[in-house]
Amino acid sequence: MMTALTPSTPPGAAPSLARLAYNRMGFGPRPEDLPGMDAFDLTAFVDAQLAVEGINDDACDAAIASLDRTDPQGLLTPPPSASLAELETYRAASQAAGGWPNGNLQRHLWTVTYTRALLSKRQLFEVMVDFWTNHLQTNFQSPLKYWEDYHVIRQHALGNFRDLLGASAKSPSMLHFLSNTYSDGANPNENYARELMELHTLGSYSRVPGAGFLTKPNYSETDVHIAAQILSGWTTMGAPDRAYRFNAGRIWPSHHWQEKQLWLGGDQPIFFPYGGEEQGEQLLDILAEHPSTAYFLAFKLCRRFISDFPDTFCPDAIESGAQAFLTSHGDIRATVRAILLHPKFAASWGQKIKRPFEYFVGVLRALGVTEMINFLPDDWDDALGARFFEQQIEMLGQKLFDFSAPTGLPDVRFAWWNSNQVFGRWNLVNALVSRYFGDQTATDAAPANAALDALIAAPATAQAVIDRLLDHCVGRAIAADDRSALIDYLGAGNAQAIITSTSPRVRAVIAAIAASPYAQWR
Amino acid sequence: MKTQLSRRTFLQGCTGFAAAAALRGFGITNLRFDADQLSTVHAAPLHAPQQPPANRDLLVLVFVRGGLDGLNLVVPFNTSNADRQRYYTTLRPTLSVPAPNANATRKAVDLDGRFGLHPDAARGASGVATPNGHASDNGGLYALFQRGDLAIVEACGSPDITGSHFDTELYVDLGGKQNQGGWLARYLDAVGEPHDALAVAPQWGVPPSLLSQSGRSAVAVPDPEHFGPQWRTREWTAHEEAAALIAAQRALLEPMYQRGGDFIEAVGQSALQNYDMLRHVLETTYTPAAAYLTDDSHVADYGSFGHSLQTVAQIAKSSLSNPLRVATIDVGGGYDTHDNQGLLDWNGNSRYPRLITNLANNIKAFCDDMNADPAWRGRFVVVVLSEFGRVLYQNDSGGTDHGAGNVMLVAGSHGNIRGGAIYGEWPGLTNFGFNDGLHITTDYRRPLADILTARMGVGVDQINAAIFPGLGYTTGLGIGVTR
Repeated sequence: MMTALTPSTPPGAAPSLARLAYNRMGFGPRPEDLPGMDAFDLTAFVDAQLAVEGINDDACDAAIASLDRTDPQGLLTPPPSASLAELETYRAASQAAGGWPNGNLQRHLWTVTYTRALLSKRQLFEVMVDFWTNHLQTNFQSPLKYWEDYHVIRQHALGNFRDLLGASAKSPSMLHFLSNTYSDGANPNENYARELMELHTLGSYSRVPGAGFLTKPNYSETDVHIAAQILSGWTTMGAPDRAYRFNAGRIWPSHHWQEKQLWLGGDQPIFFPYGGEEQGEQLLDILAEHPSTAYFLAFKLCRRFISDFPDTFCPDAIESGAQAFLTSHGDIRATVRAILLHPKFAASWGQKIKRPFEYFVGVLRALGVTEMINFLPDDWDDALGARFFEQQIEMLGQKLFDFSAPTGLPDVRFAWWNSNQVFGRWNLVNALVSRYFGDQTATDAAPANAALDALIAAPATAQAVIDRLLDHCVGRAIAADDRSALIDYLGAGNAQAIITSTSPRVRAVIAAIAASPYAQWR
Repeated sequence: MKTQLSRRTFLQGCTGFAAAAALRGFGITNLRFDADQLSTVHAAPLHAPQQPPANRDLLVLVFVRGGLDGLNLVVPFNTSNADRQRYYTTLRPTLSVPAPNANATRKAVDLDGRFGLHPDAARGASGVATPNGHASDNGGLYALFQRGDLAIVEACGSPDITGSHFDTELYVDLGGKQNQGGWLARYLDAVGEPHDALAVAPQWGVPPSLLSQSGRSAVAVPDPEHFGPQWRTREWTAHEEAAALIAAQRALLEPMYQRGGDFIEAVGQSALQNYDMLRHVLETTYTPAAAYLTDDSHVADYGSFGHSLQTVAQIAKSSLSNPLRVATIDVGGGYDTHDNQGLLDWNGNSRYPRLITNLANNIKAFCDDMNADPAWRGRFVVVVLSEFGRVLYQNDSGGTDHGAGNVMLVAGSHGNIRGGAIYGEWPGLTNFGFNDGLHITTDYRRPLADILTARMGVGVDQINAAIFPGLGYTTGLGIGVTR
């Protein structure tokens, strides 16, 4: 009954701390990362990754800049930095051309996000972008998500939480996704106010250790209602290009313009003086500084980086993260640093598995791939084109910027490992191997491929190739019988057989290693 | 290869994301594998013909995704004078199903003097006008109701309802929003099924109701083209070559899944075992004992639902080492009827008639198909639910928006349920519930708990402690006949 809930001891050896760091703070190592792992220092690595402005990412930026942004109707999708006005112009043009602007923008944003995950040296930053994308979930119901990704999430992913929360509260995508844009003071829409407290900040029940932990409500229904009144007027209605504005011009009933009070689970009411937008800012200040918010965010960050079950596995790491958050007044870097440098991080092997996004990108990184699939073109005719891989991603269930529940996608293993995943991931790597290393359509013949030869350092013996592939894709010793079976298969019984990209078993063996249970752990 | 080409042709016909969405709900399209496709993979051992579980029935959960308009399926034509006035005049002036005694060709079919069924849920029944006829028109839900094999629960719904499909569906799948895993998976835990007990979703993807926190793994069985491991290339690869490459990979992977008994390895092992077993089933030609409805001319889901139900029957009746315990099917095809939903017309806008025909004819076909096997008579229950009903009134676009309370259908067999009756407290149409929908008077988990305790081998304590924690269940509605 409790198999999935108990810490795991995966078969084979544990990985080095360097491996663990590359897998958890990024999308796994690339071949060029491997030599540096011998001299790995966790503190130096974390600090370097957190000093994101100092990481030269020109190569990745250049790859993004060179992406073909031509949509299926022949229009140019705007770059991720586009303003709301530019997005509106594109939306109108795309619609007039019979296109689907939301879909095109989402697909381009996938390409950009997958490319950054594949190539960026700012790996921890990319993981944090994914974290906040889910924590402050919105989706492509409207093109506004495109603007939010660049101007809200990426702007503040390693900044200050209060700034991020404020930007999210005023993000047109969020205002639409959780209906606050339609809320008015007389009869407020409580959707955003509730999720702001339940999902973005406090959590439903107190997460502060001690009496009341997970039992004492953080807010009442009245609090939700009053918070909704406080936030009414935070809207996009009547603003050009659906930008945020505080709508003081609309005739708000007196509900908004009066003193208010919230209890938020405390003994004393918190007073909100007569006012307009500043009442909402005060609410965000209070929520961002609340101890339960600190513990809730530390819990979720621990769940992302350390364990599916942080309350039992690493309550002390949650404590470290929460204290760092509180003393720094919401500095995300300080919080993340405290968690990653907590001893429980280094001791957390077997606590996390790869989700499909991490798996997909991780396989490509391990294989040394530098070119990402462009998801934008409408290439149904290509058996291994963008639409095929989009289907594979859809099947695996982690379609980015798509999830419609405000909770964001689950971050625990039981949601991401089942028979569908077993076969879906296996099929995916078979397809990726064909896509990047050329089709093998017969059991006894395979085409020459320079990238594949480089990956396996061909010509090399079967044993050397297997060891190299295991180092790239798994990064730790596997059971001796499994290793010898792989060598035996690749060399057709001869461990010293010389292997190149034309060897008819090399593609199947690469995909088998990448699909293996050994390669599912993060 | 033929199926692959036709699949691609289909996808080309869809635009953008609609194609992906259609794909997700596409389900089984063709149950037969090409004979040579899997010939090199070893077959699972044959066992004695399957019997139903010893102390319980087979549960088939049908989830209508999108929000079924239950008000026009089970029509309150005579629940009160006020209701009648509201339904026919105020709420749905042009979107109401005429009463059974109306002077109309197509009208509701009387169930109990108060409620009537949409005529497309009674296709083929004597006296019911049935345009666009089909071999599966065998009386539909009406025939089941008449013979006591259909119970209808009115004004059912979730206390966790929101205006969002996804949220409400998820909360229903979880059996309560505070739960982390699916209620069907918790049922399998509670009843003591082994970890690899067969739970099947004959479609793309496993619905959250089967998401397990205890490491059990349900099997999604999409169409054979996409079931199990595949060798993928741009250029054509012959089946024999692809199968040989897959078999070689499998020979490498299988021992790896036996290295440990942990979550990753246990799920991998059961995935391979269940794949072998089900592939063996799906390779054989199945001749159902009743006509299912999968024609595009009658349904809007590419035949997915009919195929999926037929697959459940096929698997249930097959000889399996690991027999089928529960199955769940998502039905789609446009139940989210915000505009132009249609009413009774088969020559013009036939959207709603198609949706209802698809549900009714296929559930009837499944019951008939299963009942034809003596081993399954009286041994299965089909539950049909949806995340919420629609708003009581029609909108300006000839549709209905997201509402609240809805009908739940429970179909049984040979006296295992008390059918032929309408259950639940009818709240009336004179005031509005959540979202201006029907008031919810029965928590959807109560009829489920009723079935689970009467027919599925669990007790009240297990309902409250494990399956639906927090429900506080004491007694049900008396739908299930205690074994």
